[in-house]
Amino acid sequence: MDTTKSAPEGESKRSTSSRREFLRLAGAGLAGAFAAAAFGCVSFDTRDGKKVKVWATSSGAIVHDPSRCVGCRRCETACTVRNDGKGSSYISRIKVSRNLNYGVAGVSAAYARADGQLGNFRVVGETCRQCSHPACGEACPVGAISADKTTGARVVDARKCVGCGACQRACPWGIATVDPETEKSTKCLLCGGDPNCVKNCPTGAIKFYPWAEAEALLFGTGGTADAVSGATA
Amino acid sequence: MAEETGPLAALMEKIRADSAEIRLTPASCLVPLAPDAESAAAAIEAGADADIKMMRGSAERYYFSDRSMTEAYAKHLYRLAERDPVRLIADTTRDESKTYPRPTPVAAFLESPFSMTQPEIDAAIAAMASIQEYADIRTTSASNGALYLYSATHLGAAHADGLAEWIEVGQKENP
Amino acid sequence: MSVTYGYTGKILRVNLTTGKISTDDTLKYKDFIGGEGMAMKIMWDEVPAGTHPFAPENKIVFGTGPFCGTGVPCSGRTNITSLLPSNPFHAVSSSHMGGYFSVELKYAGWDMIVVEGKSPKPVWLRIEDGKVALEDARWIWGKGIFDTMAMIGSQMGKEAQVAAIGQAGENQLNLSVIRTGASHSAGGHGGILGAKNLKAIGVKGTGSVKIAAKPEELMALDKYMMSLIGANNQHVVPKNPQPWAEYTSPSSRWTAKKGLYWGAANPPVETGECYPEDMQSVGLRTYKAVVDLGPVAEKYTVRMGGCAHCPIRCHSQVKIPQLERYGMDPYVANTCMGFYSPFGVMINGTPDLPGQEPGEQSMIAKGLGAKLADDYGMWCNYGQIGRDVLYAHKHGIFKKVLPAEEYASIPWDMLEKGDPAFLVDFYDRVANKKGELWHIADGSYYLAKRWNFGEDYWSDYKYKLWSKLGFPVHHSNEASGQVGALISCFSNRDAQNHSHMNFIAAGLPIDMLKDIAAEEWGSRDAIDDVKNYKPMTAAKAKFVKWSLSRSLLHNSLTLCNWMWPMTTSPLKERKYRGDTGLEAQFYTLVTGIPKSKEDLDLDAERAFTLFRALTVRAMGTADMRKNHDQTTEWVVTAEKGKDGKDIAQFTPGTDRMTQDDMEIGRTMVYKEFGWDEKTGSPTRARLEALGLSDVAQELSSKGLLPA
Repeated sequence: MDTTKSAPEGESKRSTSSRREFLRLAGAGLAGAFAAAAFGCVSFDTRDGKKVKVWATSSGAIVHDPSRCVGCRRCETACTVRNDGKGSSYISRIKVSRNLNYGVAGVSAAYARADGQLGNFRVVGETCRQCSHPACGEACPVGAISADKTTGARVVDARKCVGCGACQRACPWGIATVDPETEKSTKCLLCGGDPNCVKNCPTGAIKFYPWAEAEALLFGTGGTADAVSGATA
Repeated sequence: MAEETGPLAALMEKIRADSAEIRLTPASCLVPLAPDAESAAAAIEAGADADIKMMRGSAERYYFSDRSMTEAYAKHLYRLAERDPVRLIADTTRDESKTYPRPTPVAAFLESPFSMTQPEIDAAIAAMASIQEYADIRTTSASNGALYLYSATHLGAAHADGLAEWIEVGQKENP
Repeated sequence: MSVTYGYTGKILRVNLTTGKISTDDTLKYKDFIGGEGMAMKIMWDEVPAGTHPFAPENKIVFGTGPFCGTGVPCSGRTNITSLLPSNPFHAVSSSHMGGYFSVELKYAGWDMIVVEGKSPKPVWLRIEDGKVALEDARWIWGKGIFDTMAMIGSQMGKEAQVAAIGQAGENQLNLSVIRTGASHSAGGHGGILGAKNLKAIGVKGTGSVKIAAKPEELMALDKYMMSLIGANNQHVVPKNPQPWAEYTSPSSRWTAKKGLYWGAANPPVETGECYPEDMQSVGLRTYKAVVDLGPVAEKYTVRMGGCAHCPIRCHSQVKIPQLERYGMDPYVANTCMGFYSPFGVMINGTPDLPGQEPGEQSMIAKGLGAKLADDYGMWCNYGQIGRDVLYAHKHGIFKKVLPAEEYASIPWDMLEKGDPAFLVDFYDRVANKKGELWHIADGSYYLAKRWNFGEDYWSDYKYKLWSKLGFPVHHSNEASGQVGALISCFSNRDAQNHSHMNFIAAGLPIDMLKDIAAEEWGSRDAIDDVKNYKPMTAAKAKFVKWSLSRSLLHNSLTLCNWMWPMTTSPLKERKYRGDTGLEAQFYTLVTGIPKSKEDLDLDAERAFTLFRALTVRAMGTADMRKNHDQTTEWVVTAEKGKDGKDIAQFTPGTDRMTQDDMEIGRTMVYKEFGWDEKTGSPTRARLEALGLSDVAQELSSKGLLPA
């Protein structure tokens, strides 16, 4: 993908609004920083001395469809075999296992009618939203998370990652996960633009959408919600 | 490889487009692309690519591309296009009795791509009994009452009885 | 510990008597592959003959295999091996469940769990990675399995996978299960956990299963495998004609088609044409709800479910609001026997009521029965329980054996008129061990003795008993004549073998299957045309041995034998050939231990021969031919045709065998295994050649080696 083109395309109305907010903070000298952000992310100091990062918009994100998902979890091993050389659900960057039996909410007295295999059978998978202002990346104390130059995915640089878990604690969607075996953070890297979970879903329940569509699907289309970590979905 | 543009290419393109939509192309439907059905047929026979297949009906030729459908499926569409339900049921039954071999559940004709109604099926089977050409087509029923057809040319009566019972009842009792 | 690939390298050992929890090394058992194979070795080494299944000295082994957790297609099954309570000799047997339990166990770092002893009070086993503890289970004892799972989930977190017993297991019924997930049951061993006071095992793992090969190598093999996979039972042609298909089969479980929907999904999901090349619709191919529950189930189907890492979804997950009339939640899931067998208890069927759609009442009864059996944790002895009710009812036995007061309290009128509510009463009595009726869950051998069933119980085809050891047909003579018949002669319970069944029912023309049979087993006459069987051949014996070994191989790796082996494929360009070397290719990539197809088949043969030795030891006789491998009489008696006349064996129209031919068949299979051709018992030479000298020695010391 041509990165110089992907950034402007990614500038949907809402993500521009968050950028406008950022422009206000950042003040002068921004044009250069913003251009650089198209190729990843840059950080610099604002006029009032705050450290701020500018993030290139992701080329898109993966969205999971709970009505088509059959709970086979082939997406999870597709993810970890490709990216970690092992099978695991805990560090999978798409999260199905944890909601499989009792849904996102977990066990309740009404479990037999609630989401999950032990209830109404609904399988809710959770995917990385590649937030325009990713809490994981903002929280990382060593700058190990940045926007991939090709895909815009917020990726972990394992050489920099110290396994502190700041990203895991910061991510409101519970995606970033420190691998207990390697003590490195794992989060969705969009597999270089050809997500292996998507390819391996046997019912087409997982799809990669370009940013504008993904943003609408993951964050909703109405109201003031923005593709910023912590915004309501 | 035949020419990539020109009249023959247009004919093949039309046939492939129809096949992609899972329908046969009757020769008569090629007329806007050729002066008449005969010349269309001649052009195709002379030089069409190998994927273009022809089936000769009672009054019409039908074409399809095997890139989009198998010959087996095209045969079903052909028999439907011929609008002769008696022959459709008999020939389908003969194919299955010969190929697998196995008797054919009458209920299969209720489903796609046949989508016949029970009265249509009943009428066809009743009509079949008095036509000499279909003398090889016999019926057998499983212990649950389901009716099966087979061709005596390819299947013996005892074998057909046994197979119908197996497909209809035995297999369901032994999942 | 050094890094292991495929295997986690660790076996969890739990002694419930002492409370001691310890770790053992998996790889010392690696000649037995995993799961069932390794369990056979542990049972041989550690559980002496004559042990009662419910004694503390019995052990129960929960096994996974090296593929489990790696994402190899259909690798999510759990193998459970122990002494079998319903077997007259309490011979070793295995039960299996799908679901997600085994994968979680691997991710927690364990290949197997070996449980022994008996806890002084009800406990459950809590496994969180390396942290393992026995927890008080008095608060869940007496609960059904659904509530038990939820309550353990509340303690461990929603990610936990739980295997549990219900009241049937607690009450040590011979016919009870261990269950996991929404609908995955391992039949026959629930009572062993009950006897051990072990209500459940909960497991949660944050680890991984490491792969020896480069990721791209495994991904490439996975892609190739996915191109060969068919629908459930490896049916490789669709049920209805499809534009892409050359062949069809009315029996195929490839039931997806245009216009057929998971009707209760929101929004409804169309199953569609499912072209074989389309990897994004593989999971839609097998639409089993409309098979198991009938066409009426289309609008009640929420989705198809199944097991970890399996793209073929064979468990129907339906919402039947009518279940609320019985005080049940409307959601129910199961597959095949899980629906059929509780329904089989309704011996007069369940006729539709006025206003109901065709088949609606039987769908309700199947759903209700599945829910009850799954909550109480009842086993059906592979569908036998309904036929046992039928026999006892038809012969007036209930009236004879049940105390008058108990007899009068049973709502027989509901059974007579086909009211599914009978199931609510029936399962309560049986699972909760009430009165005399519960003995219906003793299993055929013990039940027939206790209630004094007549000889016709065994000899009448209607009751489908395969062996006087008390188990029924399961892909026996009706599945490829002698091949299925002989396969069923070697087990200690219903044969649970699909290696042969998947092949013969693939849906392809017999001529093509015969060609493939010639390539795999040396001759086209390894199989016959269905219902047109010919006398025994050496190639059939090879097919039998292969089927028995492959099934054990799959239960060891662990792969689902309801899908594997990949003998055929849906691909015209491969002439519908599959690839029977796939297991070995995956084994080599996953574990880093190079093995050929022949190597793995030999490992499986070793494990199967050990299983045979276990049966010899349990029965205390080397004469397996006479004492173990015989069938009931109907199998070798001519059946009546429609005209009431006998259909002679080996003529078209019948699948019955003859005693003489079956004896020839036994001899040929014994020979294939290198066992004694007279008795069917493993010889010292063969045992030693397979590296089982210790087994030969013990059998010899007990006088159990053939002369």
